[in-house]
Amino acid sequence: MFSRFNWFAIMMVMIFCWNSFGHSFDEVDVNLTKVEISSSCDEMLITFATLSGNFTFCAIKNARPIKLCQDCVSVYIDVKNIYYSILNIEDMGGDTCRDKLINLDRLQVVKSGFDYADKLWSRAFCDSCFVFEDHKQPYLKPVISQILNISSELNKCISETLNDTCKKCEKEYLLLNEVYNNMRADTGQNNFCMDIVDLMNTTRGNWSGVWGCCNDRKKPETTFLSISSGVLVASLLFYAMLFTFTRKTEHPVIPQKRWKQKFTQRPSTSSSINS
Amino acid sequence: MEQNEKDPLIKVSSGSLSYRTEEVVTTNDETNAESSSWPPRKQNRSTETVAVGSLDVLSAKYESLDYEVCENHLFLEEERKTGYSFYIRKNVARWFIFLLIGVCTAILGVIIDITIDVLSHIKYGYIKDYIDHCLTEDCLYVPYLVWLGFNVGIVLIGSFLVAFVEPVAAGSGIPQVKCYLNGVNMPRLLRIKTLVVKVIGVISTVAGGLAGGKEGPMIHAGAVVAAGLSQGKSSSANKDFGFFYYFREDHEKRDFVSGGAAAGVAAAFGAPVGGVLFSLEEGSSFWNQSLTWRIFFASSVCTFTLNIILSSYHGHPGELNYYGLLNFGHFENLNYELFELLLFCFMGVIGGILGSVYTYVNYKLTVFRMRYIKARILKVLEACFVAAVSATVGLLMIYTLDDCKPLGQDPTEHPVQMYCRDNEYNSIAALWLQVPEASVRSLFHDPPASHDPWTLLLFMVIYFILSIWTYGLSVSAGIFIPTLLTGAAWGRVIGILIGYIYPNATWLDPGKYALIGAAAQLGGVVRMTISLTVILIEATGNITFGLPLMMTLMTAKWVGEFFCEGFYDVHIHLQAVPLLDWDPPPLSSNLFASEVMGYPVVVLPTIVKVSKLVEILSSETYCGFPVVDKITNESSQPSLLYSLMESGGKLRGLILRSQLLIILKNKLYIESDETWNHQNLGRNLFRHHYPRYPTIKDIYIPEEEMNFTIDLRPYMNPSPYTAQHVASLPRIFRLFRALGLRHLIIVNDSNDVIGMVTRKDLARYRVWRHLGHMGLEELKISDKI
Repeated sequence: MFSRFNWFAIMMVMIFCWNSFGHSFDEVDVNLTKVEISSSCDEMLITFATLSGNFTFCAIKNARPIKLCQDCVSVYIDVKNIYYSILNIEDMGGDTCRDKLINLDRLQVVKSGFDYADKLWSRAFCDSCFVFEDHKQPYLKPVISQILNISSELNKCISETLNDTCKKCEKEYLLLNEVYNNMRADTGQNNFCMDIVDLMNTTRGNWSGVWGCCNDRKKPETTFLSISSGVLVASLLFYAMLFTFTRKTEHPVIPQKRWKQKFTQRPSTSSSINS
Repeated sequence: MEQNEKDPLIKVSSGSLSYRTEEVVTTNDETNAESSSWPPRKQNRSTETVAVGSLDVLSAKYESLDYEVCENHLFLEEERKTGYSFYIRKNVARWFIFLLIGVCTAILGVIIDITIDVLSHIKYGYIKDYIDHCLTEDCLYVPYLVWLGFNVGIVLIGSFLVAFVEPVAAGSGIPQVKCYLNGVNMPRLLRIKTLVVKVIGVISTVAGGLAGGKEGPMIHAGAVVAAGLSQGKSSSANKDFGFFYYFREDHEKRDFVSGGAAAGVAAAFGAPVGGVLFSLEEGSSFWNQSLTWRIFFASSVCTFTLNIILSSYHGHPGELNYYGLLNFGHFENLNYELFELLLFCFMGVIGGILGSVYTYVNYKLTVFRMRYIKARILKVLEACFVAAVSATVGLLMIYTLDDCKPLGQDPTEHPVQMYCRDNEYNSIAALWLQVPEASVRSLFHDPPASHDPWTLLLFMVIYFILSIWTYGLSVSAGIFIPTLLTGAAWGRVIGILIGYIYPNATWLDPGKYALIGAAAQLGGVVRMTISLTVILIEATGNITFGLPLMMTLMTAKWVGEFFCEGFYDVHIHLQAVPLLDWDPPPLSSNLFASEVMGYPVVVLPTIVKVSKLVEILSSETYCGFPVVDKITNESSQPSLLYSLMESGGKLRGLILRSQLLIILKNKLYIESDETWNHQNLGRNLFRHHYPRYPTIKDIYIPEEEMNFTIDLRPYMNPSPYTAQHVASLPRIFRLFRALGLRHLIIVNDSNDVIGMVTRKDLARYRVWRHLGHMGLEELKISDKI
């Protein structure tokens, strides 16, 4: 709430200044207010355009490796604030910028521009990278910065060592994995900071791919194989034994009482009962 | 079965129980050499046996339900006493019960769903942890043993309950419910004990990792809930709550059970309309507009309740996103091109063939089980073995196949790395380490590249075999999910392969082909038509995809029927249930009532001596007896036919065995005063014992009462349905099917009783179809099945 109010104040100051210096004062007062309002909304529109452009630039620039959350957080917050200002700011005439800019045509440029930024942000679960507090710029969660620190240490280690990378940097790698796995266990499965997920995926991929570590995972597993084949054989034996040792039974068919049997059977006494 | 059209209409079986009409004497002497020696038949029949697991035999122990209202004296009395207010109250109560059925079925479904969810989450979580931990330390046997322990342990509970407490709860329950709705009294099917065993059983099956689903059992559970709620009493718990006594008759109960089955379908698939159509297609002989409306009400209530509770459980109260236990998830885009319909039909053909293979192999296996696995403890053991093998095969596949996919691209609940690189997971492990339902969803919705076709094909083959093996075990398990999973697997493979051929096709989505494959496989196995189409439409929430689904199901059904009967029908035949089809056997108009009927018929006089009655009830197994006026020999017209056909006497009415037993139990003798006291109780006397009547052995009758007499006239149905002895089989059949009859009395020209037709007399004529040939066979009857 406060940040929104803050923005409102800033915008009003800006609008005032812009009007004071950008426009001549010889216009009629009535017109002035009109210009003032429309120019404030126009101004916000331009600011929004610039900021969302910045965000798109930032997002695409940080596409590989993904650093969207870390690098674009400030731009994103700016985009979000200006958008909500457009939605909520009301001038003296009682008109809002929402009425002037949004919901007027089927193209819905402003809304889709914001939706693009917002969806990208939420699909990356960027909110889970940061701690948001009032009055302050959002800052990285401690566990995230810890992971980033360890990762940079690991990278340093890898870049410094020329051979035997696996052994020398194993400590950092294992620590990184441990911290990451603990965090996963705390936060749930796939819903956390994309920067970190991507960092981990790349690091791990490089670890076994580029550096060729941890590729001796195959073990003989003789115990497992023998128990499992035992189970399979036992179940086959079970059926074989049942087949051999069960006595076959047949069910007797009961005779049906039919009229036609009268002709092929010894004439019986009447079975109708008369008391 | 290799018979062509030139063969006689009725197969003459090895025994001498099959006949043609008219020239009976000569035909028999000619065709059966054995029967020419005297005494021919008696010996022959007494030695004739039928192998366990034969399809051409009916069990004598199944009885019919009484859908007919017995309009006897007591009924008229009661109707006179009740006014229109009672009629209105009864109707309101009916609606109320349907509401309760919907709500209770939904709650039951939620209990099953959540328990399975929690148990399997724990189980797969443990297994994943152990695999992750053990892989690098050469101790893969630890997660294996954990998996084995979970599977066997959980399955042991369910299987033990099913084998020792309530064997009726085994399997999906759909064939049994179908038989019940057809009018066969399935013993113990609708008891609360069955319900408890079924619920625990199905939880243990799915959580225990067997290839079984919870949808079929859900339908059975819905049916039991409906039967229980509508009766206001429980025979299992031996408790009579005293309300809804007026619904204690087969006719009313059947209506409620069809509503319950519909609610079960609705809960299982989130498909209220599909539920109604399921009841219509599989069940009821009677169907009317108001009943349909009530059933739809119950189904909708059920879906809605389930949705509310499940949404709250998953943390989105009020969002209503969980519309069924089996959630196919939301398909973003299910558009199709016209030419794809051909592909879908082709997949329908595959589904029909695979479905027939499924049915045939399972049939063979079931026969093996009937013959060789008879002891209960062996049944439990077998279930445990299958559970163990399921775990073994799963882990062996995970161990041997390295199908690695990068992490984080598709949602996987328990990604296991196995021998993949550090940022990858084993996609086979992902399929095995979740409940089959979630695997179906993965196959429908995972991005195109998340599965390798060859591993998927191997998975499909293994799972196909496992699901064949699982059905028929002494556990409660349905076949919907395993069948859908198998179908989805090969469907997806086809989708991926088409993707190799046309890499640039925009219409191609492996998920869509997975859906069609699942539909084809299921259609090929169960051969349901409209209800399955609508269920799938509702489960996917996409009406535009109705046509492709329908075409697939239709092809699958037709192709499947070329090879063998539907899965449920095979199991019904194996259980030797006298099920009446929708239509009479074709070309059977030359079979007349005089051949179809049971003869000679056991009749009762209007006033009968107790000793006589006891003797008849003890020696005969019939459930209905025509009540006749004794005729003197002079009154009957001596003609050739009549002299051959013994007549029981002039028809006065029909009385049921259950009524006779209650008359005896309550000592409604002419000579005793109690008759008059009890008559004030009226029909409630008979309702009190419904649905389980005492047997004649349970009723103690003192020696001095044996000479008393009973007047049957106030209790008998004075206007039973009759047919002339020249009525044809199709005519009698239609009468039975349309009216839901239990007994049809056959009379001659002068209204003398000469025979009786019951369900088994009709059901023994069965049409067989195989590889394009068809014919009529006459079944044997055995009382030992």
